[in-house]
Amino acid sequence: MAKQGGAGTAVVIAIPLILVGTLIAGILLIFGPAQQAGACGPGQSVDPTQVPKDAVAGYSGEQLTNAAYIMNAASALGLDRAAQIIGVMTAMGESSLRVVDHGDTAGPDSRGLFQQRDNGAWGSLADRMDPTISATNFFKALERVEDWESLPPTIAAHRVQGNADPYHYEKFYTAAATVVGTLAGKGVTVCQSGYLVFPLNPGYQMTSNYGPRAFVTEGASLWHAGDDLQHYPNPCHDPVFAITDGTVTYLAGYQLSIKSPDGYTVSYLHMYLNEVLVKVGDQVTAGQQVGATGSNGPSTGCHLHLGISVVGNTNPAVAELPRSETIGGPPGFVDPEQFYEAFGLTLCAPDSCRRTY
Amino acid sequence: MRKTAAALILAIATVTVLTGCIDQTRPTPSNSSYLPSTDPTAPVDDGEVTAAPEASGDSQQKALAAATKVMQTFAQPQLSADKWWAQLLPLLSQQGGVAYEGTDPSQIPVHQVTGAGTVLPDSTEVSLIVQLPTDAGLYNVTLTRPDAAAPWLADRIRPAQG
Repeated sequence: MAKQGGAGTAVVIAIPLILVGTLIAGILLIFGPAQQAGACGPGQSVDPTQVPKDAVAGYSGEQLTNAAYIMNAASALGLDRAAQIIGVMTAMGESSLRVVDHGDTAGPDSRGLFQQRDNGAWGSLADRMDPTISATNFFKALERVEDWESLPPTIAAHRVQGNADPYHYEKFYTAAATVVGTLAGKGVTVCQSGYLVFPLNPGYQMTSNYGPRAFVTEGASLWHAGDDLQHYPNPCHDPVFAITDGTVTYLAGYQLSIKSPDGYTVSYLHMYLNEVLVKVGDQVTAGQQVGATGSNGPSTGCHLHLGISVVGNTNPAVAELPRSETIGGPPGFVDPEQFYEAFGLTLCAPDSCRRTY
Repeated sequence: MRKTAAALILAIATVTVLTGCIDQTRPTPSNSSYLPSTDPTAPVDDGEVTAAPEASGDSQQKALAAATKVMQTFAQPQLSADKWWAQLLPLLSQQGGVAYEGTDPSQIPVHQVTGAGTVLPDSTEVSLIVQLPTDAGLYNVTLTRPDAAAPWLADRIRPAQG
């Protein structure tokens, strides 16, 4: 059971995250795909009549009011913020957070925020059209999903909704986390992305960024097609985590590469191969430790070089990022910082990541 | 500093000799290219990312056949959930099995594969994506396997405009 193995790893990751998170107020907490419920914070209730007047992540007015009803339904059941985000994410994917009074091709009898069917499982038409009752029924079904807390959010939602595409809700996750965090007055709180995490434990510094190198003084410009990350002062043997799910496609020299199911490839450089914990052909999950920082290959000190190649990518958000060859670099790479931004995350946030270049 | 730079150049040269895979399109760096930054703790590197070897013709043919079978099996909305799952599960990877459990086949908008598939760029011997035309538009089937001797199994089956 790869999933259970992944859960154990993520718990280990979550502990230092919690410690650092309590020390540094306002830090953006990112957990592995399978952290314990509750690590994300309580599912506080909010006043549906006091939602922001301005749009949040593209949602406004009645959409935000409905998000508040969904959050309160989770809160009334004693569920945490991770569940609130799953609920809002699901309703975004089903109804754009509107109480829809019609179905679709796949389900002409689907109604309401969660597009619940007229099959007896979701109550009367009035129930399915009621934001609070329909959300309560969604969360009760979510609680019956075995290990829902340890599943990627889109898969947990899929187990309840029985959609045709388990990954349908993935692209709504960041917006849902933003809406829930904003309505709760906490700002953006991505507590369980399920598909993108950071490669080192928090508190790392960035020692070189992506692009032409600033310290090249003569000759042709040297291009750095990734970001260098490390902890000071003892960066060797520091755990390195897979930032996304994928299959290990390359392990040689000083390079480990993992190809995402969406086609792009994340490369982790300069680890000593005897400290790498995976082999070619292994399936890994986001947040799984894959090795440790080293200074293998052309490098003068232990650190992680993180490079992201988008050759063969099928993810629409990633496809919009500018590629390295358009700004004078080697072909096929994107800026890892922009990659994280595309998922609503900040790789090197000012309050937790020092830049030393 | 000069020693560090010299060591780095030596390291690059060694790697080049050993792997022969340094980017030939880039000029050879000179010593002065490797001045460390002002922070003495900041390492200097010259990470070159090597693309994984492309899947062989035989592997790609097997992938096309596997993806077509996956898509034809997936695209059976007329089946009961139990029958559909019993047919699809053996064709899925472990992660695919976790993801597609609980899918309601009657929701699936695809009924048939309407043409030949294409292996997308950056295929490898252990992971690649096949794009297939269907009566509901283009679909991407992500395939994975532990090694070249193992059968291709599906991780994801998604509309290309997902």
